[in-house]
Amino acid sequence: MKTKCMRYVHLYDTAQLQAWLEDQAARGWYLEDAGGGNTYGILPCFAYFIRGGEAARYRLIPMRTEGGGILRANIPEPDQGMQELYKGLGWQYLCNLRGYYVFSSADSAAPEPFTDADTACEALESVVRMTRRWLYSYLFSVALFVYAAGLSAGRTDFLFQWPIWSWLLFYLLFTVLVLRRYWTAKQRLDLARQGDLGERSGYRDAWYLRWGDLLLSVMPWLILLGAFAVAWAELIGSHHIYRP
Amino acid sequence: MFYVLMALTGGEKCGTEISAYIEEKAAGAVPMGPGTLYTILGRFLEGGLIQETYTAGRRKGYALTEQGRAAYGRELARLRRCVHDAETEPHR
Repeated sequence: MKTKCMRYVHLYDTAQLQAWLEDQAARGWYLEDAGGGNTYGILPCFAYFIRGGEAARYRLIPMRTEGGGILRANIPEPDQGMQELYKGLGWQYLCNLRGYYVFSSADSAAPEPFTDADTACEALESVVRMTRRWLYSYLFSVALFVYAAGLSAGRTDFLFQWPIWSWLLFYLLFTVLVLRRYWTAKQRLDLARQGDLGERSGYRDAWYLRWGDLLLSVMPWLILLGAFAVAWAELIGSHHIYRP
Repeated sequence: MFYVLMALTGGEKCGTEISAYIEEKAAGAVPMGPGTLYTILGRFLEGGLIQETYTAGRRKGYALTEQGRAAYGRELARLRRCVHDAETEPHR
């Protein structure tokens, strides 16, 4: 009987996530679906795992398209030709995770998805380019809110200052996350250029990485929720609201 | 890449048939994973060297275009020249 549960996918480091997934499979936990753990999800650290699966090998294949948004339905699935090609060579499409398509295989003889450095680098370069563009847009947002915070420095109006500082913090935290994604994608590209096509690499199961990722992922949303709650409480309690 | 063009000289094939052809022809000396093959097919489609001929269910068939056939001929001539040069090299 298959037991399904939502588990914490602890690594933002996609270069190592693959190795971690295989170790989880060796312990009997098989990735089934991304749950909220897709690229842009609100809960980017969780995915569905099952006990009693078959896949033993996982490979993260970089997405080539940039579609997507907060809602999972907007994230493009690999086209049918791609899925069929992978399936014909022993790889089954599972889900998308952190800008990568996750393919799994129970067949130890199935060929590695990328068998030459040239095509592997081409795929990874698209991830690096995409993440770099995100990074620039986040940095631009941070700069904008720093400017706004500077403009509002002289004001004592709590309702005016609080949203600016909340958004600034929100974008700062997301910038750190995107910077980390960019850094790990770049590292993976450098490894591919040296001929390491990502069959297997070790990972560090450090508590500060695990909890750091979770905190960084959830904190921006908590800050925004907090900002709305405080602003609402302030509005309710102040004379700004017209009460007939 | 050359082997992908070679696979299509005998007529249209889908991705898995191309991979099986290369595996058999090169006796495992040219490994061709699905990611690599998909990228190469994408490049060839973009460059006009091949075209999609059919979609049966999830399968897509590919065939060489005239431009692809000419590119295959040029590459074959270049490789023949390379082999000839190597074989006539007195210090080999």
